[in-house]
Amino acid sequence: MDFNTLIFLGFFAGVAVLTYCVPRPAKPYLWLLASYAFYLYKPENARLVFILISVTVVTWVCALAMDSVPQQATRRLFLWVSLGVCCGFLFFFKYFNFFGELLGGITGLFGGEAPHLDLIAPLGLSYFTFQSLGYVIDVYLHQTKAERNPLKYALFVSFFPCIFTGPIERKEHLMPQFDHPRRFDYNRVAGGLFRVLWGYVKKMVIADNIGVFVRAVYSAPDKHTGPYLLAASLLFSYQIYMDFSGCCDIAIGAGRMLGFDLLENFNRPFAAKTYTELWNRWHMSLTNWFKDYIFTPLSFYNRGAEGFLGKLQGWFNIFIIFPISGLWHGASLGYVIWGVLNGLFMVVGKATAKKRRKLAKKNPLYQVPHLQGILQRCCVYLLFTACIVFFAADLYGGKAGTVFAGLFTGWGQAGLGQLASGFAALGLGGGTVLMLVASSLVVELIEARGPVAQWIRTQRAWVRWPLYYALCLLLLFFGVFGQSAYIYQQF
Amino acid sequence: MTNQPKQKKKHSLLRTLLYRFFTGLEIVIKFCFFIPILLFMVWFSHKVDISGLFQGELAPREVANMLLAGDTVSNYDKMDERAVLKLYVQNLPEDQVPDTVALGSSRVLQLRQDLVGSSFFNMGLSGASAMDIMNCFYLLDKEGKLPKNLIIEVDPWLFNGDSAADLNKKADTELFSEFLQKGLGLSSDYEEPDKLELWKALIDPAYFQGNVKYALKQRTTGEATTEDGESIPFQAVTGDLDSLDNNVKEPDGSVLYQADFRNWDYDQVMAEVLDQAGTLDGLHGFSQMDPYWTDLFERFVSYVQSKDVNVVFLLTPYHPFIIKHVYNNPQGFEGFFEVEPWLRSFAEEHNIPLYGSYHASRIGVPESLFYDGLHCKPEALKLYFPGIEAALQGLQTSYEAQYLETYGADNADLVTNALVGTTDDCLVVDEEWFAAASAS
Repeated sequence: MDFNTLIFLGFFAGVAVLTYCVPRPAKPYLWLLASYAFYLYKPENARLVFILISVTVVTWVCALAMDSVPQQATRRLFLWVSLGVCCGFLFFFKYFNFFGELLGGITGLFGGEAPHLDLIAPLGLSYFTFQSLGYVIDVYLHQTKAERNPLKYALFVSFFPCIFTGPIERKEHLMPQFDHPRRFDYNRVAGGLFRVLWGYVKKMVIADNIGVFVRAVYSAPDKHTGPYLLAASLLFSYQIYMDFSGCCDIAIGAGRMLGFDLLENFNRPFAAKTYTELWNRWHMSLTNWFKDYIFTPLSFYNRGAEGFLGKLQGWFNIFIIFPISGLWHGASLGYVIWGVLNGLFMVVGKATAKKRRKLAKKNPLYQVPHLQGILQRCCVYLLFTACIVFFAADLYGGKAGTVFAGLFTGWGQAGLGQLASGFAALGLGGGTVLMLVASSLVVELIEARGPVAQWIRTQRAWVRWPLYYALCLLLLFFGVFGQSAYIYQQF
Repeated sequence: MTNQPKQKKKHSLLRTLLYRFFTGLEIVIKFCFFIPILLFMVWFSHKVDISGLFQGELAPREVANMLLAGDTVSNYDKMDERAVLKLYVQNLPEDQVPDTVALGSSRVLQLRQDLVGSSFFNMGLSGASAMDIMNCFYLLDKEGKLPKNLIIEVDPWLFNGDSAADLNKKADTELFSEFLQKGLGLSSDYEEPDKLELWKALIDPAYFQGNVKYALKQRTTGEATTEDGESIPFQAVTGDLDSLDNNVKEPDGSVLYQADFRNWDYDQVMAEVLDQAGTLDGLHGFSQMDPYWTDLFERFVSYVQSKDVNVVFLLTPYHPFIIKHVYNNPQGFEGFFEVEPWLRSFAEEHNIPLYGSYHASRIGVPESLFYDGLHCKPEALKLYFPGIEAALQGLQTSYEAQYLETYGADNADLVTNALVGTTDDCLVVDEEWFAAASAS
């Protein structure tokens, strides 16, 4: 079931009403039922539900075993079993063909053939396996207790607002909320509902309208010249942000309506002035997951090194997260290159931070108030966009090389009028651009004031209601309906 | 003391229930504030209806609305006549339902309001089959817009088996199945359409957006277009109808042919007649009247009569040359010769007035009153159809009166049997009778 369908709205309304009608002890079981119904609604998921169940059972049993066995070796064995099962499913369904092709490339030199299987990964595989792995590692590290109730744990793994697109939750954050469901609170529910609406506008009005143009350009980059390729690349960064953060708004808003506080996934990433800051604001639940379960252990094991070697190891620890993150997004070379580039930018950013700060003091442009911040944000956005070209090319079937090569063509050949009609033909007419600029400005300005669900409840009715109506009308007139699912859903 | 906690609990339960009730009510009321947006969407989608889900396709809708507004509409040849009629009936205000409706093929389309005499609409369709005729009546019936009188122009091919039952393969077979099942009570493959799917479009924002785009474009350009952006070729005709360069549909449903066609000389008409005599659409392999379609026709007429609608049969003549051609080459056309006698006896049996004949000479129509081999001019209709009031009273046509005056009442049966006069190839009427009949 996709968030942007009428069936989901009906389903969610039913779950929300029932949530506040059933007795508190029964609520987790209602949510579990709803979560599996939500997951099984798609026939392709129904066929592969055994993966969700297997991951749930194995990680629950292993965590329980780790909790009850004092011997470190046995605990480690259970950890490896969990890691093996979760990573095994991930590898098999997402990376088998990718690595098969890589292997085929090598064996092909000696006349071998690349192994290939027709595999369709179940939706949400990367999310629920990472969530389960995080839980098992936390238990192994004694950072949390194992959950005794298998059904509540199953709910933790499959909780429907998060299962397809995250946020990747932590046991210590989510499980207590299952144990102590909140009472009905009008302000929470109304705020949650507003955030859901907000998410729909971000996804269906902003992201999908930009997506029409980006898809048209990126699916045939060789047929478009520099101005179009540049615009599509710059816009894709914003599209993917609106798409994913909109989806998270819906998930978090829906959770809020049911009485939950889910982890935030975005904190206005394009307001970041440095690349490190951007990654602290982008897909935070995944970034924190990598930080906690890859970066920290690596740093721990490399803690002995000093001097340049120590720095090198530190940089490596930062760098390595990004190619892994790229692979998490999808099994293709484009995502890996995207990760490598991001890793490099991060490392270079870290390595040159001090010198850049010194240089900045001598930069006359930075003496103009606010200009430094604006320029820094622009630089961060451009760097992010340079990486995201590989991401977009993979997503829409274009070639990143063609995009980069085409960026320098066609400048000065077409007049403004011709360009404008060209953009309009690809879905970016004057009216659409105006609407996109206005909507994006409103989104950025309101989000700068804090979490929207809380913000809206502090506003007077004469601000709230026109805003509700404006958002509804925006959706009605400009929302792209019957289009693709959320981009991050496929990861 | 022991009762106190119980009382307290009771009190809090009531409060909780009341709180929940009023909170629920508050939420419902607040949701109601959004209903105007939903209503606007539904209203707008229904009004514009770019895909014609509720109001029919845009082009036929334009034509139907122009006809209802009393306009003559251009480019008859490009019309989807069946769709136009469906929408015409659908949009026809109940207080404007005509007293008389004519059904039939293009051979009835010259029947005009002034020839019929009461409020009238001609629902003739090019190449109308038996299915088309029954469908047209069922459209009126379904919408509760039945006329008082129904003129059925009966073409011989209506009885020429399945191959001719849907002459141009244009008839709405689903509607026909519905009529068979719901109207005549016969079994058919009709299945009730899923209206829920249709109505879902009204709350589909994508459909709403399509309608908005279309309405804005139409408002900006001022040009009526189809859903695909193609311009709609139908316009209200103004000015001199005598110099038309295309066939037009009049507000009474009749068709006025373009000036060039109307003014064909004898040679041009005969060239067309020869061509049509060669093809004889719908009449090939007509060895006998098809029992199924004959039975269905009988049931249909009974059904119409059961609705208290007066029926009048009208037979439009073929060009004398065509009739002679068929007489001279009767093999494979035996059924054709059966139709008129059978229909006359059926009409008599059911007390239905019948006017006209397939034989032009029997009804005093000279070849000069034919546009081509199949279609005669309105002046010809004036000869063999006396108007609806007279027809319902069984009055004679001017030609019949003239004939009787010439031959006397004793030879009345000759009216229907005589072949009056010949030229080298064609059967013609007596010029004097024609002049006298036309003048009366």
